Amino acid sequence: MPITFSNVFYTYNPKTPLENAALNGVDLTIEDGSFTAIVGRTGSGKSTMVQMINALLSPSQGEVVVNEFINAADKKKRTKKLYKVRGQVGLVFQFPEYQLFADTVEKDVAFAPKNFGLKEEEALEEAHKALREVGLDESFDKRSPFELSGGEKRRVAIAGILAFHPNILVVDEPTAGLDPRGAFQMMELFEKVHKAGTTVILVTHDMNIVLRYADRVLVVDNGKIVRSSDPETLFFEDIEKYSLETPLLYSFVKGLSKRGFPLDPGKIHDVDSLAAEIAAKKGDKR
Amino acid sequence: MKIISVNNLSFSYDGEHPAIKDVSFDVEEGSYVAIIGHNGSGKSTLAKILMGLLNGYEGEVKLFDTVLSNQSITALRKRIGIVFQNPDNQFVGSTVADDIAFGLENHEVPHEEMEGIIHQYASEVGMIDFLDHEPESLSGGQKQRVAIAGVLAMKPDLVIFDEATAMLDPKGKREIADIILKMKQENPKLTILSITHDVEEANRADEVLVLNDGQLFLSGKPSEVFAHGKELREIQLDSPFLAMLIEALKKQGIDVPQGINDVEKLEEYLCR
Repeated sequence: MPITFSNVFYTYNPKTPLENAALNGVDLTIEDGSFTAIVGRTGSGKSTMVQMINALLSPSQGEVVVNEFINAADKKKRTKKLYKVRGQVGLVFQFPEYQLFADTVEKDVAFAPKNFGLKEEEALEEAHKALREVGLDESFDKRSPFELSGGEKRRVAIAGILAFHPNILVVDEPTAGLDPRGAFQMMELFEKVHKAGTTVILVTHDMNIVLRYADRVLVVDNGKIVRSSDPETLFFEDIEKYSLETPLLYSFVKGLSKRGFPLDPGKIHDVDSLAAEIAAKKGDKR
Repeated sequence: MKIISVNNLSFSYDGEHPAIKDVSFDVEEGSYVAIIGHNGSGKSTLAKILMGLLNGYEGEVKLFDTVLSNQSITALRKRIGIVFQNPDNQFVGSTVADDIAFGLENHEVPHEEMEGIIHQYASEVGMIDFLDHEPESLSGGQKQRVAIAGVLAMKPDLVIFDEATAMLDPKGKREIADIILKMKQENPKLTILSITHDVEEANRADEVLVLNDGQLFLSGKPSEVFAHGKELREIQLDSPFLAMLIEALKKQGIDVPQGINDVEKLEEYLCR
């Protein structure tokens, strides 16, 4: 079942001097099996939205439906034991490595499956599978998570989510602070999880990642969805007004078009297709 | 004049595995040199040696024509400004103005002069409207700009950026890259060494050094270094957008002449 937000409002600290409206009427649908990027400036409401998907927050108004779970402002409509949605939605916060706590890597990863009802051995088995999936071999199982490198710690934290097989995976800035190679490996991991059928929702500031991995992008501004589109179309628009960076590929295409050399946007999605399109246009001119 | 001169430098942390193997290079006064390489390539080790934070290396390091040693480092450090990686670890003041003032106070700059200096460098990095802001209200990129202002206020001859943009989002990265270029324009004698992951930033330097496995893998002008796309990919480094596009155009039979070293020049060339 898809994820839907219907007219969702959320206000932090209502009726106090710190009152702050974070969401102002959000409507959206995220299809099963999609790879959706959520982008927007800091403070636009992205994290608030994401926390509603696994019921860490409930709307002040409107409702969020995730699989069979209804997270509504109206408590009568709200699903009983709503917290159970967390067995289906894996949420990876920013810098998840700060959330490690167990004395061995395998125990840390086995914690969630155990918590969701698996026996000790079964949970460990799932933990080992998840650790292999994120690229950490047997030698890591018994080590302390605290002696690992930053990138390895982050893998352990993500394995801890994958170990309970969520059908929706929400990741908030998963590549922050990683070097380009680490960031690439991390994104390839999510791509693999996505290909296996998981719905992936990615919050990011990096438009090159959006371009490469997402099939749809939602732009959040001022607590509202202001654009919903495929990345290629969006990047041809003026997105600087939402404080988003145009990927270099698209600023180049825009630059060419300003100089009277327009290209067909539908045909361009990477450097190679851009070069081919330029060559084709040059051929026409001759 | 050579600001940095590294000759046959080797270093090992454990006496067994070398972290730096026989590296030599020079940095001329007024140049902007970027050192790139992935994690474990030796670039952080090299940075630590240049800052005088690691001893026990083989070979020779000269800064401002003086051999780096325990005796010379104190005097040399006065001429070097360093911008570190984590914006939160180097913000010491309670406001932006206090933070820029910190180094000036340590150098006993008279109070009357301080205000003018703070204003000058805060405007240079585009933070003049934030002087009374607290660090919590700033983005990572803004904090790094304040750190740069604090460093520039000390009037260094050499500024080292030690992965100063690694923790920033793409917008923050671009802000810092723009400020580095502006610093160069305003003070042509200033020498800049940037240890970075960001190939787009490195593409705008005068010279790029690529480290791999502790050794100097490639060096030269950005257009020369990044023309080796295949070799760079073999050591898992990306090329900047410009170099990738030039390579892709070549495959399509469009040969871009040498000397086209920025995106605008390429646009112009293609529109001819």
